[in-house]
Amino acid sequence: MKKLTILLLTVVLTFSALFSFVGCNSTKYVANAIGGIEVEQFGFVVGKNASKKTEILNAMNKVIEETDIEAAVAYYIAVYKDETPTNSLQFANLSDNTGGTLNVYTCSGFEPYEFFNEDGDVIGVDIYLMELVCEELNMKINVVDMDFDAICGKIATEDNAVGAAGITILEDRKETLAFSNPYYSSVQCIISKESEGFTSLENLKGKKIGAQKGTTGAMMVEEAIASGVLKGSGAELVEYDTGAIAYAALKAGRIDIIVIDELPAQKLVR
Amino acid sequence: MTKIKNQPQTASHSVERKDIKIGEILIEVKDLCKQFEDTQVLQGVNLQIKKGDVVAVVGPSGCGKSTLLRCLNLLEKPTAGTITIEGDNIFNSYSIYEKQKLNDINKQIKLLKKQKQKVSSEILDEYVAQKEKYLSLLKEEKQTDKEIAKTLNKHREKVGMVFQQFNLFPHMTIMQNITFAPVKLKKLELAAAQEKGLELLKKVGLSERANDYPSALSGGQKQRVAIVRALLMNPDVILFDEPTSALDPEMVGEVLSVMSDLAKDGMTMMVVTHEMGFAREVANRVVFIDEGKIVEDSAPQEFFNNPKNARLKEFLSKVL
Amino acid sequence: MDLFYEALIYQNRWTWYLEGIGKTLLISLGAVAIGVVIGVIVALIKYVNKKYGSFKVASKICDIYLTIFRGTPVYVQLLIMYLVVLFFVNDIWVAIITFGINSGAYVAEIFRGGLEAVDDGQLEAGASLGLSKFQVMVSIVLPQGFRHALPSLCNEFIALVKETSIVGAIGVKDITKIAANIVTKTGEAFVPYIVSAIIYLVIVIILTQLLKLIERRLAKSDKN
Repeated sequence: MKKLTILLLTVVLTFSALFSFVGCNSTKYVANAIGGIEVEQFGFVVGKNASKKTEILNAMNKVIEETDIEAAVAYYIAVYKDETPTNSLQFANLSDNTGGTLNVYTCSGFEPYEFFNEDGDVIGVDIYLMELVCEELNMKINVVDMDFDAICGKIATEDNAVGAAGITILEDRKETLAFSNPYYSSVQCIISKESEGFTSLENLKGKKIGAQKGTTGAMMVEEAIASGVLKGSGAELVEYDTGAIAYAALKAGRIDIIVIDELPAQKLVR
Repeated sequence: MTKIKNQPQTASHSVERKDIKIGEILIEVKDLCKQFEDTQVLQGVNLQIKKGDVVAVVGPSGCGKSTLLRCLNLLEKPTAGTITIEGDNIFNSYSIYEKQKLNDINKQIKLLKKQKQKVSSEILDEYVAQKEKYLSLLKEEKQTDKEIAKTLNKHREKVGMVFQQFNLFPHMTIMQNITFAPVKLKKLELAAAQEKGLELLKKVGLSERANDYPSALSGGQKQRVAIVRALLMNPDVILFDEPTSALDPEMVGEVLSVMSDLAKDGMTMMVVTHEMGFAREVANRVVFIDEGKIVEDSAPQEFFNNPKNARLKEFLSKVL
Repeated sequence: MDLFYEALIYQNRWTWYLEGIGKTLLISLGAVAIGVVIGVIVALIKYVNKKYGSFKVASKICDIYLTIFRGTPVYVQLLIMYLVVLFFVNDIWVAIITFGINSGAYVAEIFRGGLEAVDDGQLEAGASLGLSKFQVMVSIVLPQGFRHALPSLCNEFIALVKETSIVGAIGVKDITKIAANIVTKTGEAFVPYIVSAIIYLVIVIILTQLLKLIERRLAKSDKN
């Protein structure tokens, strides 16, 4: 029994040591916008062949025009920072809606557009806006959290479904999806060590770069490595399911850099 | 049962072949006890097997005859008693009773310590001395056990065994089955083992089957191979644990005839069996076990025609 | 048909699958090798402990190992290995080691079952002949135990190949991850995933046939 106890203690101690070594990495990271690139526009999507396409797009565009989106962004930034928001929002009341249910597909972990609150519900700017859209359409809402890169495929084939996940408006995507008007703009950022503070893709030569799979950030890096400024420089792209896992990998030293949208980047390096 | 034995034989276990003459004791068992969970299966068995003996062991189911047999080569570990093979101790332990006595002494000491003034220190000292004695006895036994364990395998080479379920090795051919142990334990070279093996297989009528696998043989054939496997180790005695009980009736005869030939050739055998015919005609001693003890041990004539023990009479009236 | 073109032919995307197949097979084979070694050792320790009472401490450690690695999802084990325990190890090796250790736990139980299926009479026969415990284990129990366990071991290997499809979580480009990449590019999910499913199916069918052949070869010596 004694030998066993000693062995167990050793194992537990080793693990805690490892853990504290890796987990409490005290390096500070910063997020800097990449200079000299195009600003991206986010849009909501619905299937090109959806039966209610026009109706839904109209509702979306109406909400986009009439709502103070900046206020919503500020509100939700305060929420994820655990601060009291300085403004308040008019939330939609969908309980009496009779026109069916709209499936809203999103990928949480993208503050402040969609993320988890402490009750485990997905909330955020995108959800807020979609609720207003449902109000317009007299429908109830069903928020589905899934893998980002599967969203576009899902929307293209399902009828009462929309995508609200900080989706950048891209020509390629327009082949199967119909976009609403742009509702927010975003720029890609580089998360690097405080001492490095990179602001250009040029700085990333020879580095291991992490990104969330399916995002424009990942696409940008991939293109740079295949045929752009990082070609032949030994830079490597590693794609992860979520930004959070990428950040954990960054702290563990598995990658050197993360490329991700501005606001989520700011949340990660907090 | 709280017998304190003499100094155990020091283990200078020279395990070489001993030249035992006919009539000399091969295996000796004293005070053998075996307890399974709550049942005392063997309750003090005393038995001597002399060279040349063919001992048949009979009795009702559950009387302990198989258990006794399996204790002889320590496939079952007895609870207490002594087992000697060719003069060497392979089991010698009364530790269970000594532990019990030790427990009692400890309790007494505790009790006495509570009544501090009323008890003279001499009585207490005596008890403590007894405690020391038992502790050292137990320690000695543990030592002897360790030494015996080292040589147990060597002793097992001298005691062959044939099982009710044959227990041939299914992944080896007949020839490999019978030659595996002798070659592995360096008793014979492979070629010599194969030669001798073939000879023995011929004797039991199975030489053409040498390269078959056990699954291709009938029960009776498998048992005959099992007997050859035991024989090839050149044992001094072979133990048979109900060798024909698992066989179809037509095959019983061929196995019993092989065993009968063995006995004629002078092999010492101990056979647990229900085959009264074999006991009567081939054995030179028949033993009856009842409630964990040997209650009758006599020549077949006397055993079957003039049984003394009441339970034996009852048993015989049922089976004959 | 348009979809097929986009998913497979445009920019020679079908060659990407080759890379994915290579990674999947590499990880699977590496994991099987490690898993079998660990599994056999653990099974032997537990078996010897049960039959002969030795290796008490080692057996308890094995129990802890089995409980942990069969009681947690591989996905979680993968992330923990990748981000914490093996944070300094190359990602493909992380996958191989994680799946190896995980598979080892299942192989151990399968192999132990095979060993315990060997009749006690075999052990007794060996002992009665004077063979040592070691000789009995190696020459009598192990061969039979292995034969008993073989079909289940083959199934485990095949299951492993499919389980490796989650390595995308740590960024390794296996068949499934490549398919997901193509989905991202084309915005269309049906063709790439169907293709990857077909690839896994083909691999599994080939493996099943190969393993059946091996089983048959070994069984030849048992039955006549």
